[in-house]
Amino acid sequence: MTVNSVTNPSPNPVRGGACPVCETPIGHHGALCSSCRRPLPAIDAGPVLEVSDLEHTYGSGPTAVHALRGMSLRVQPGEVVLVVGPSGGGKTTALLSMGLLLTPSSGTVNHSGVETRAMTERQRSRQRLLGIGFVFQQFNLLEALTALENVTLPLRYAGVRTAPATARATRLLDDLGLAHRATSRPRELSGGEKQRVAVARALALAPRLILADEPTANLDSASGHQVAEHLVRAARHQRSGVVVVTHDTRLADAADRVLLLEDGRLRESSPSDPAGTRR
Amino acid sequence: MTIALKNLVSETGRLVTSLIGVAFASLLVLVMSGIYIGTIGQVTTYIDNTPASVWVAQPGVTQMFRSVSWLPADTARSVAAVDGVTSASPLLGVPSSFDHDGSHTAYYLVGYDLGAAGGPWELTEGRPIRSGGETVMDAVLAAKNDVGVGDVVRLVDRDFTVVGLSDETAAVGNFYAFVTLADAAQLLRASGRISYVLATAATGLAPETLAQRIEEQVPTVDALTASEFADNSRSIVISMVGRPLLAMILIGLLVGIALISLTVLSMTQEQMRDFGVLRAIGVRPGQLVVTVVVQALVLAVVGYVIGAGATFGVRSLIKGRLGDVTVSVPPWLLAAMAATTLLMAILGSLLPVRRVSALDPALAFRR
Repeated sequence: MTVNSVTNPSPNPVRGGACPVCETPIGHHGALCSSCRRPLPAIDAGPVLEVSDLEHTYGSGPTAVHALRGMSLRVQPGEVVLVVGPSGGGKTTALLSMGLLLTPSSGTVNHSGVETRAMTERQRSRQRLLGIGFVFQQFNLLEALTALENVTLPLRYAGVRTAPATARATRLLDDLGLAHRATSRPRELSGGEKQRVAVARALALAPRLILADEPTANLDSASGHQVAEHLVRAARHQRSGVVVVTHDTRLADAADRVLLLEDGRLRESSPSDPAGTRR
Repeated sequence: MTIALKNLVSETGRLVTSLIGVAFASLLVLVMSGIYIGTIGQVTTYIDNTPASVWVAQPGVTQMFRSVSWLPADTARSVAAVDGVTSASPLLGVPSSFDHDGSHTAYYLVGYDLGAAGGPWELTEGRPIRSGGETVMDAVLAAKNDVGVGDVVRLVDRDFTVVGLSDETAAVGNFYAFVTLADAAQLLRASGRISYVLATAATGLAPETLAQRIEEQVPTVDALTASEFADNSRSIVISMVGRPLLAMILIGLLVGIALISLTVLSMTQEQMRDFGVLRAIGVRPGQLVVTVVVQALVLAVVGYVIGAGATFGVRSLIKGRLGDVTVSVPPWLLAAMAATTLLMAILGSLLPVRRVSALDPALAFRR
């Protein structure tokens, strides 16, 4: 069963006419932005993510673990999808598959209409860098770098010039209420601040898809709520599709859809019982 | 590049430890190589500084340190009569032991004709020998034995007054002490005998030609050019101490590679989680490899500069404490060591690079 999007957003006006990083008007797509050198994605108004009949098995024989059993999902630009479910339900495997970090046993994963199974490792890396923003449970900021440098990181690896990269990172930190923390190192930040920096890093290249793995698990309730709010608002602003994999059903309010992943299968979840505990 | 540098400086303790490791490795190899080069260069100091074009010796004697040459005393006159010889200085020299206040030091006793070639060429203190019963000793030999100008020392079985201390006459246990030719003959019971004749060639006459003429006209001797005699003498020393020194240099290089490898490896290991995150967000293995190699190269360059600077300090220290051990650090050695250190850094990066290249990007999602 394919869990289709419930919204049908209009095409992204920014993507159509301006560089998503430096917002310089651009004439054509598929090359580099003439101002900041960010590689420009081809225009695609379709789903940012389309997963079909995903199956994955760890091991073989009687000890085989079927982590995914035919999972399908479609995410539109600007849409926020929450995937909840119990431990061992296949959430991490699903996230790794969607994030091109794991090749599933069968099924397809399309990113902005492009089938990813045949991609080389180099192409997958490039797609992860330019097309996906990751938010991790453990924040995973580089301790040696300041908040600003952490956010600048994907921009610089993508070849964006220093000045526009710094400007973009500064703007994102400002949007997330962290302008005053730009020069702080991760060890000087609170958990909530770290995760907001991680969100800024995920948004830096304005990827079409953001994958968040338990982004609020290590945060208190207030910080978690704040991080989720920032993530959703910023992602919607730049028309990125968001998939949040979590135990935390309190995030359901921020999502357009809540899906339950259980025993490797995905199904719509009831708004009143997102985790499916009252079946 | 930025990440590599930031990673390096983010942990001061780790950086300092790493730099000390690399600096020590560079220092070790530079000092050992410097001792080897210094020894080779300094060991023939007497031959190099004595103004002779040709060394005339007993047949079969080709070098100075592992043989004793005996010639009839009138050989000097025969050599002087050869066409093209402007001077022929007799020399009587044998290895001996300097026994002083219960300590024993190997040295080379040289008896020379006052006013002729073969005596000390530079003094740090005192004056040259003017008469029998006087000696000029190597300054390092004197310092080692707490002997000064004016002191009386025993050479073989006779007392001599130290009237001067000579410079540049020590090389790895090869010290020189000078007396008159007559005193040497008496000490060595060598009346009517000499060891060598130092012949100087007329202007424009090649030493090889002169050596050939001497051998033709004085049939009971061998004549070697000064450079040939020095090369032979150097070779015999290298055969004695060269291999152990080269072995120590090799050990130093291996220790250096091990130190740099362990340093880069432990640094990379500590950053593996960061590298996993970078791989997850789309950084290619090749880009991470560049980070690892840049870190190793920066460590190598900075560590090498510190190590090279320290080498000059150690050289002064050795010169002050062990005057006979010369640490020679010519520019080509510095350049070669710099290149070797960079090579060590690249070799040391191989294992970390392999680990980073094989890193699973899903590592970033492990809790």
